[in-house]
Amino acid sequence: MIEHPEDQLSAYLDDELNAEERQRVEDHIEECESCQALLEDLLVMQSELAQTFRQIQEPAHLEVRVLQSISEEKIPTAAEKGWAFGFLMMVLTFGIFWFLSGSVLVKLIHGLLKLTAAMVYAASHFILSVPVLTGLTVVLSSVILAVSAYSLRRLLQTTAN
Amino acid sequence: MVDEELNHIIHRARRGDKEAFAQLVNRYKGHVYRYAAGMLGDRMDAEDVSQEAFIKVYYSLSGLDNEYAFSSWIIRIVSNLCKDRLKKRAKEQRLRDEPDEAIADRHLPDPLEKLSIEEAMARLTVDHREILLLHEVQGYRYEEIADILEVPLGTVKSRLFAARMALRKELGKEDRG
Repeated sequence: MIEHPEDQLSAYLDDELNAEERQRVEDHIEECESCQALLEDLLVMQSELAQTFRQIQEPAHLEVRVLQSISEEKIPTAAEKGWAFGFLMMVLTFGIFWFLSGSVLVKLIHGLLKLTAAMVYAASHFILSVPVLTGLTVVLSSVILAVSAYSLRRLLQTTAN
Repeated sequence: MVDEELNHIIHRARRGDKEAFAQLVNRYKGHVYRYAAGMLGDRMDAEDVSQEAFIKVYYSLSGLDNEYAFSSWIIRIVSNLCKDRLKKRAKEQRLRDEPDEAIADRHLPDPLEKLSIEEAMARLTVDHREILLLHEVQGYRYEEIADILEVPLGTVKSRLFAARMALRKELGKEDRG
């Protein structure tokens, strides 16, 4: 059975064989009609393929569109840079404000806390000094406690169901 | 002489000269567009991808090591973009269609159907289409193709042969004994 060097035919067509391989293929083609026909087919196909794609016209003003897209893409970049700069400036302004007013703010919070503690202390003293108010507070606290306990129980029961 | 002129244009474009870059696009748009049209089988998609490729070239021109390898570098860029688009298309197709209809490219050729070269090309695998375009349309030598595809020279040889046989089969020319 004759061995056809078909894969070599393709490289032979492209002139990509060394002298020895080339000679071997040429010797075979001279003897083998089927390989001659295949070579002919490949040649025709090669030229048809090149011709088909040569006829495809490239878009006329592609370079204009490409340059347009590039300049359009650059605008958001500039805007982004503007945003970043604005954000940085804002952070910087807040930073400076915080640095300058920080001590005042801390003092203010500290004062408010002290005032609240003093008011709680004064209120408890006032309640204890008036017996009626003390009794009333105790009763009111008990009622609130009972209502809370009842509603909590109800809530737990509903969740379980 | 032509190469010298081209290198000068590339050199200017690398320094941000927009006029030089426009010249570069003008010179290579046919090369890029025909490749994309062959790979994607759709003119609109080919135009989109070509535009995308040149924008990418514009931003990465400074990273080009060797000005002499510009042509294969740009083909590598457009090739990657085409493959990404084909993958996206296949994914969309899978989501839309029945699983067995997703590989329409692999359908057996109808012996009575006469296909045009472009239709036959569209039925080939991506690798076969790619190598045929690089060799027959773009005119690259085996060694250059091996470099673009990053495969051994032997693979280029065997893949090109297989691609030619597959195209021949699609065109219905396989009638010898």
